[in-house]
Amino acid sequence: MATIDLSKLVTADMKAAQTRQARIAAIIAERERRLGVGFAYDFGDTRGVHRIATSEQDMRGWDEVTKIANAMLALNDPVSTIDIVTEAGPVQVTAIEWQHILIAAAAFRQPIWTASFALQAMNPIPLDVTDDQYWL
Amino acid sequence: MIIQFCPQLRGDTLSLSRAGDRLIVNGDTIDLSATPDGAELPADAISNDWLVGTVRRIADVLHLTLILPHDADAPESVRFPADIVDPADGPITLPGEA
Repeated sequence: MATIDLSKLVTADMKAAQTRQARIAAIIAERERRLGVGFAYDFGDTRGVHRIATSEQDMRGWDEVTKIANAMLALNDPVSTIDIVTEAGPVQVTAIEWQHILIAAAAFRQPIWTASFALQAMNPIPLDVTDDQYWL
Repeated sequence: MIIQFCPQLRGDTLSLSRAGDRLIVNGDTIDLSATPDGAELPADAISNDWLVGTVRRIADVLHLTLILPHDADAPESVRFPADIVDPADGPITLPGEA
């Protein structure tokens, strides 16, 4: 009689769980890609419209600028400027202007997070999680 | 049960019979009854070298692949064997056998 190592048995439930985990990983990868695309921000003056980068590395820079802006606001300094570099080039912003950029970034980024959570909650998760219809 | 074959030029022979979910390969019984529907077993989980590839039960039908030994002048029906679908219990006629 041949012996069978049932510890190597992969059940339908296990396969479904593996598939789901793989699709969740794909959703997270797509979310990161979309978060990193960046967005256009209109300063509404001579500085014009700048494309602002939002890759993971860029977001570390955002944290730095946000700390500086928060310190300025805590010191009631609405005038001093912070040097930042967008994809259009260097530009100066006040602490308040930086807050506006943060709000604009939230408007760009939050729907992406929301869509990714909705996708992860689907059962079954769609095969093509990169389809725009799931991210609008 | 659906039996597929992996033809190999080799000197030994294969005899095969079925008893429900049990397959008797050259006298060695492989009991696949513990494989539930939708599950799969890699070949290395089963201590029989004739079985290659993954054993799957799909829609309550076992799918498996066995080595089919043949000699150098084997006919095309052995070198490119058809699957055996739902063989009856008892001895199984292999590709190329009368």
